[in-house]
Amino acid sequence: MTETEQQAPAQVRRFRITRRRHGAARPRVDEFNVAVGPETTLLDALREIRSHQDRSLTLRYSCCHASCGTCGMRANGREVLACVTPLASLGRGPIAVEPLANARVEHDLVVDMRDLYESLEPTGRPLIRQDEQLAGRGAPAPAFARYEDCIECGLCVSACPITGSDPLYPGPAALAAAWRTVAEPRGADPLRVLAWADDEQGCWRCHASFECTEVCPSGVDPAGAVLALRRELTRRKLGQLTRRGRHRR
Amino acid sequence: MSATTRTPRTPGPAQHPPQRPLRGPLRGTGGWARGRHLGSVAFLTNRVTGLLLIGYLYLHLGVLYLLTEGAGSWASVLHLFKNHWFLALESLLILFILVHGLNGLRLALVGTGVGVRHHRVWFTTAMSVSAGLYVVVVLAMFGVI
Amino acid sequence: MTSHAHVVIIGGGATGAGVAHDLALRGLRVTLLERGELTSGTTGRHHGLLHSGGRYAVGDQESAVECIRENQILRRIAPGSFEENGGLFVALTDEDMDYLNPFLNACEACGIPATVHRAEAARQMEPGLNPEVKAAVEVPDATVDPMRLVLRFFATARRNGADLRTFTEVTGLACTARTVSGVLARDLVTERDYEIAADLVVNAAGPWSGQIGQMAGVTVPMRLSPGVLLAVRGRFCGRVLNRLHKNADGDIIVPQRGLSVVGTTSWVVDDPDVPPVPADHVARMYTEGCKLVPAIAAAERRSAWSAVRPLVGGGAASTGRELSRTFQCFDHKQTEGVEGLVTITGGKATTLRAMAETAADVVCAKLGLDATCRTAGTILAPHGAYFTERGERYDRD
Repeated sequence: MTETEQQAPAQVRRFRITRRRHGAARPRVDEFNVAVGPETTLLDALREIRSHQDRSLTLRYSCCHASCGTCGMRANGREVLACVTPLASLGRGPIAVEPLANARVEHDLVVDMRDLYESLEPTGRPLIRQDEQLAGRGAPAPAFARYEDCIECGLCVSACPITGSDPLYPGPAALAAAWRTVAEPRGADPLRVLAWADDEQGCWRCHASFECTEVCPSGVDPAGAVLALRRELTRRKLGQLTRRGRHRR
Repeated sequence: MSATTRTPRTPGPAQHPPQRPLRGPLRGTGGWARGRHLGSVAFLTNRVTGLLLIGYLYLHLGVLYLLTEGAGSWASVLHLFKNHWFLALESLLILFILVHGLNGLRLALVGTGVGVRHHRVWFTTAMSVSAGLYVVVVLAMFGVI
Repeated sequence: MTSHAHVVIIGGGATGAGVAHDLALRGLRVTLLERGELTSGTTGRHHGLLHSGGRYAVGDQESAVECIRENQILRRIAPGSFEENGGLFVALTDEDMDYLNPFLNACEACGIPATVHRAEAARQMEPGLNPEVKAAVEVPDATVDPMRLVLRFFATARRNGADLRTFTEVTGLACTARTVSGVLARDLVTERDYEIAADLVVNAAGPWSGQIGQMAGVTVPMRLSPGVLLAVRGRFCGRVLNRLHKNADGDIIVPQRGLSVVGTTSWVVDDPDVPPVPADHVARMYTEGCKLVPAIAAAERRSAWSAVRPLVGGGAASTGRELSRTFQCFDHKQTEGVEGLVTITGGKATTLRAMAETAADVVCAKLGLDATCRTAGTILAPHGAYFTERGERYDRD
């Protein structure tokens, strides 16, 4: 809490945290009450619980300003980054806190991010902003630069109804990264990435629910990216057809 | 380890299946029926109307089969068709066709990258048109217009 | 050169990462313990600035020289982890202009490349700058993602055999006859306590170094100095912007993806956990930030947070700005006669590799190992490797 909040009358909020513990067959729900102020974030409250109520509560966080993408979780069923989610935006009643969906839960609110990072590998991500300088290097930019807006938080993957029911779909984050490569290759090979995405399990698997874009905390618009990939592929296919047609004549 | 662009191990998105847990269609909150925004409403609407239309298709086939039973059973079926409740259900069918069809048109365009930014407007327009036409159809069905 | 010496490192921040990487590269067996997620202490929360050293050139030459040297090394060993956009020290007032020459001389003395730009050129470089800019000095600052850079050290360390245990809290140090022989740890996931034997323990716990030291009865002379940072929506500058004056509050703006991070303040606390975020400090970030970039005044707040700097040096310090930003390594055998424990603390995120080299040299000397540091020439694994190369710590269900 901020100093002003410590002076202001505190409100008590109740948290119902779904926790999967080691060795337990099913997750359990633990309830905690926390005194909060008007600007307290979900992360503040969880850290308060961890520090003063239950030191075994495990959760991920790092930057506290929606830049590292580690504190993704679901609050009242919606994907959020805990560090920038004021409790005031979560209604007035008890707050249900769960880990992200569509990722293996390791313990409590900690999920395994391996799948996300593996899905990102084939996308050939130069991912450096347009206005960045690459001092003296004309060669292809390294694959793991990460200065695009995507912070690899996994909220989009959690919200996507297709990743929820299809194990082979790479997910919005990977496809958004692929689009980035196609739109601005910077030495990477856009055709290879397009071929990777042009798969019935690739960009064509999306059903345009747009949930990924709705939950993205960084304005990446993954839905737009997936559909842009499809537009690009459609354009190329049509172009090929007309060219072939012309040749026959 | 040098910092170069990595090449994919095999072509196609499924390099190796992710470890994430499969929740299946509606089971638990990891399934596909969770989204609350307009895009998800459209997605869900299309799935539901699609399923209902498939159900109707089977019904329709069943009814047509009755034709093979001769004039007598056909006449009793026709009598059923004139029942007001049945007409109401049939009007719903028209609604589902309109909704599924117009949203489908939206998806065909948005899904190839056309007008993506306006997808919400297209959805509300499609639903409004469906609602409007539905009203007209109902009125026509019940002989008002 | 391989060794069976086992070193346990306490602390999963930048310091721990650097030490784990350095020691693993030298062939030692390393176990690292972190009570939360890696970089969840001070490291993850810092400004995201790869210092050129300009900020310390005038007042803290030692730090400045460390910074520029490490700045260049990090760019080499972690290519792609920086927005290599450069930085400007911006003069807005006559007072700032008086600082220009001392600043330039100091930069030259420290080996920091500095180029002066006139007002017009500065405005062209950064259209969002306060139009009253008088001059600006370009230096090789850069933007860095605090967590992802450090994850590269961890990923590389693990490739070289380091055992990284997150969500493992240190509850005590096993001490017999003034010798630290191991660490008492609590696995927060299984809720089990256990002991890890160690030939040497490295205390890299940042602001918690004092608490860890107390477990062995040693005192680590440090001051905890939090600072408030503010992130606003909108990328108002392409480069790091600094105010050309003596270090003060809110005089740095770092562009981080779609956000602009304004910082910072400085005061002293006793408790490293959950530092407060005084509202007046946040307000000051807005008022100071908009002196450099006027658009900041109306920018939407994304987050305001605080992080605790672990500064080396005891004695009275009212704001923390008086203390040097350099780092120090304490061999507690020499300071208080306790064997088996080394503390490395202080420093800046920019100097994590150098801090680790110092600590690793001390560790190897104490263990009687002849192993030279190779971190300055070793390219780091990508940060994604930290996630994709994890083994199974617990049974998968």
